Amino acid sequence: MTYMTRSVEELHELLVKGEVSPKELLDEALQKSHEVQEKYNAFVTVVDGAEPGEAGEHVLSAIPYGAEDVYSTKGVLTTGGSKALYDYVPFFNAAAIDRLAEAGAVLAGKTTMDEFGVGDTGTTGHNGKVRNPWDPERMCGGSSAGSACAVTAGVYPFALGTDTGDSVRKPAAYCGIVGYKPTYGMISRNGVFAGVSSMDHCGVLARSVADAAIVADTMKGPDIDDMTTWDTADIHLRDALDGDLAGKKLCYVKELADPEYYPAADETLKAHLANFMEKVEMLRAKGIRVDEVSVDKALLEAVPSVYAVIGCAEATSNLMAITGLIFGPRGEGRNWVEQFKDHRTKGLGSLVKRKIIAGSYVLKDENQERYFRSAQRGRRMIVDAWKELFKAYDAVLQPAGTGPAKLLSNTEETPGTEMLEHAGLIADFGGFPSITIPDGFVEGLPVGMTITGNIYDDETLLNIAYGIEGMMDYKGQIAGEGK
Amino acid sequence: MSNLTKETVELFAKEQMFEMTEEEKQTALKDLEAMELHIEKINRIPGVTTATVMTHCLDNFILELREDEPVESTPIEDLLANADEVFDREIELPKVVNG
Repeated sequence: MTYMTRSVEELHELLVKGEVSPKELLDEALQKSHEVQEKYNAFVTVVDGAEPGEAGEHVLSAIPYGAEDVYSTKGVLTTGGSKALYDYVPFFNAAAIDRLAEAGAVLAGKTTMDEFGVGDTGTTGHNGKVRNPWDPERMCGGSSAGSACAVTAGVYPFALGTDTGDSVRKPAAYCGIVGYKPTYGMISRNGVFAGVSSMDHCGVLARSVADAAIVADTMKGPDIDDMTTWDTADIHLRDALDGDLAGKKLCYVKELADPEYYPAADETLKAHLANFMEKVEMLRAKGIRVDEVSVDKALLEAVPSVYAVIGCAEATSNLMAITGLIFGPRGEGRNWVEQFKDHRTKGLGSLVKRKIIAGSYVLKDENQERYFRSAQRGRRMIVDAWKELFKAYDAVLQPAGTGPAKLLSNTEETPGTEMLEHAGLIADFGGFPSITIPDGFVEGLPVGMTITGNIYDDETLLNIAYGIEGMMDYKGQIAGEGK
Repeated sequence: MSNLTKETVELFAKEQMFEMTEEEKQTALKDLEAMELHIEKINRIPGVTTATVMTHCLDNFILELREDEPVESTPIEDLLANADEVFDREIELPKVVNG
């Protein structure tokens, strides 16, 4: 009997009825973890010594899960995907981990990620590249690569990721599952390594909207140790799911869906866009209003550039904490300067070093106005454009990226498609809640649709996603098994 | 078009306390040169030069400071667990002055 391919609510029912024990669930999750590690390199750590817990009232009690290796876990190795922290074992849990523990969920694995979340390929972490279970020659995307891999491979029903630059939702799209990033500050980031602080979000990867809602419900809420959190007492994500889309007003941005804006589009991209428009027509055929809107192309084309500048700048500041003096392996040298330098030289990967150099450049006194402040102004303009859309619409639909997972042998982006590839960043710029759900297949590989709503209105967003998910047949997908 | 050179990269690397390979330096130099292209794209946004900078996702966010009450501290032994060098119950750091 296989259990880990089921939903959280199905597992809870089996536990309550005594048809499966917590130990059986955990044993299966751990066994599958080792199998998946062998094939796809999804884990930094499989928590073999985890306690199975007890089946209780909470729907997550005794449910095994994984967490991206950027979440601090007490007594369990937490590397941030970096050689610089290869032996770091935190003395405390991230707040999100604590809240799941209080509900009785069982941490069964720490998943592979891009180093410190820098990267979107799942290939830059210290323990190597993550392969996609739908096609091992392809990537899972990043940074939350291992979490997406584990969930789509049926290791457990959900895993935690982080979303700074589409990094929960893009891996979800590549792996045919659900990736949800709540409104900024809804889930505490205390204990999660900081990357780009003004855009960092905790997120969930799951195989259904309902499971993502349950997990976010459990983790959300104010935290005295994260001053960006806010009161979520009136938000009940799972309870709000009824799938009723009557009266909802949706839109999509023409410039992100029409092939005429991508003259160099290959057949894969054309099929991805056609698949998206099929789903738009499906919604319209069911009586749901989906308008086509237009956004200034200059705004969309600037999105990757805004991220490149702000992302490098904020990451540079945060990564200065990686010294090797207080934690992590201490570098060699005659004095603190040499030790500090040796630690960073040997510990930080090439991509991270490049980002730090770029961040240093744009933050230099004489450059701040030209680069950093300009990017912050650009961010404002882009976010304001989306806020205008939310005055008229409940959610914005868009194709997730430019198609299915890319080959590991060719991670280059297709020139001329950048504004679509990186449109998911807009939700990170504005803190908007955003979710990617699987919406079909292109060339035998899963693709996704990203749905973004207005800040604080996560209930409406998830209910729209839940309704759309229910109209399609891609819920609960396991790689290799189809659905 | 700019004064950026490999030496520029080396200077930043020195300030940021790490060394880079020649290949890394060349790639980083291209990243710096690409910043000009990024700014060109940002400056094409109509009205961007007069926009207000955005530093936080939530415009209406109200920061509420917590009460100034003592909380339980983390045991020192836990804090020392990750330190490579420990003296008694303190982290031993390299000498900073006249090091």
